[in-house]
Amino acid sequence: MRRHERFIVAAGVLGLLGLWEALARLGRLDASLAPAPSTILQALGRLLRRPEVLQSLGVTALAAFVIAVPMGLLIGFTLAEVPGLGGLLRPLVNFLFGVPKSIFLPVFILVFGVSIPQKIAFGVFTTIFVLIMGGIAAVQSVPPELVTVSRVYGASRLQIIREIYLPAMAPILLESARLGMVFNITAVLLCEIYGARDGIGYRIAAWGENLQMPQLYAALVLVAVAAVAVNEALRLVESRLGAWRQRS
Amino acid sequence: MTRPLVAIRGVSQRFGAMPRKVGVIFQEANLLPWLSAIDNVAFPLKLRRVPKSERLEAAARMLALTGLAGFESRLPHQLSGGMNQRVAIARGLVQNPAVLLMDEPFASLDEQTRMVLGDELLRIWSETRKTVLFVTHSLNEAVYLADRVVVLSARPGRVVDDVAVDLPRPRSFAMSSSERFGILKDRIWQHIKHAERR
Repeated sequence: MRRHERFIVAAGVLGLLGLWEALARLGRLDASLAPAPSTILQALGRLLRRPEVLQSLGVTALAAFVIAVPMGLLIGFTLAEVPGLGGLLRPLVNFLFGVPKSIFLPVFILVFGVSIPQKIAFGVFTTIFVLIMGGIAAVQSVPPELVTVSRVYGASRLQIIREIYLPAMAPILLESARLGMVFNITAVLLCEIYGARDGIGYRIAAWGENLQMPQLYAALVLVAVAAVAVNEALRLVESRLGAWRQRS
Repeated sequence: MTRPLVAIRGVSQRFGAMPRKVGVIFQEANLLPWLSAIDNVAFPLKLRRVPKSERLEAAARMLALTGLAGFESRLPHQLSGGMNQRVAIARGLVQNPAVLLMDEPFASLDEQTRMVLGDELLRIWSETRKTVLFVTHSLNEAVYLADRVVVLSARPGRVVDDVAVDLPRPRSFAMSSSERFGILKDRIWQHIKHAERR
């Protein structure tokens, strides 16, 4: 976006918030459903003084991510490189990819109980399919003619992996890691909302049930900002590493 | 597939990858899209673990030879098709091989670029004196560039003629309208006019 476009967007958002504030103060909005932005801001301030509310979500999501990424990519690479195995298992992966993972949450609670391992396991389960698909797509994106060129110039198998496969796959790998993180955060939040005694998801559910709207909206803003920040950070790395993909 | 026996400068061996003896240039430039021009040219040296400063120096020399001085840090997508093919030629030359294999290297370029690169190849040849094995379907290109044209039949590919091109060097564009040029072209054409490309 150009500078004046950003200015217009910012002005629009501020204008809407101002209108909301004015309507709420004039009593034109139901304060129990739509409290004034200033009230939400105060609640957000109180929430930010206790950053540990996000800790549970952050730690769980990170743990699930660290397990799911290497596992998913390894499965993806194997399915892409071993023809027989890929033909056998890829339809299954495709099928499971399309199934909403949330329906399995009760099963995970039955197996693991409401616990941190349950949340991590469910996070891994939700995330891993994106990474398997990403791993397959990444391998398939490697141009075979570049492998031929390196062979002609005497590259060893290891050199072909390091010099051709890795750089060619990097943008797609990062892209699937980013998508995986989005799925992952959603999964852990769902666990916290559905059956947990702690964490921001649990609080969102509780505040919603108790009609504590300022707190609820403050939590929504907080989670949204945190998720967008993670997403944008990964996208920045991705565009750095993938600059060569631009076509002139 | 069995590896055929080839002899290069009198030394015969089974043909496999011979990166230090043979530079290969393909129909497409096939550059690594994430590497700059100079890193692409230095790539064969990197595979051989030549120290960085040494290989970049050699690559810069080759880029200068192929007329790309000043474009060292450009990525392939920032260069034209003809320039990318020049980078590929520089990459083929960087290990100072005895032989340059060129498989229809200018086939995917427009006519103008093709002519210019043909002259460039002659200039590079006159400076380096490499043996160049050049595959082409263009009669003009064959007669204009070569000392010797080996005519192959289509399916099975047998040698049907071996034409010595006795045009003087350096070649010039004016020669392509000379009588001798026409006679040579005609001789080759008689062999291949019935063999439709399939």
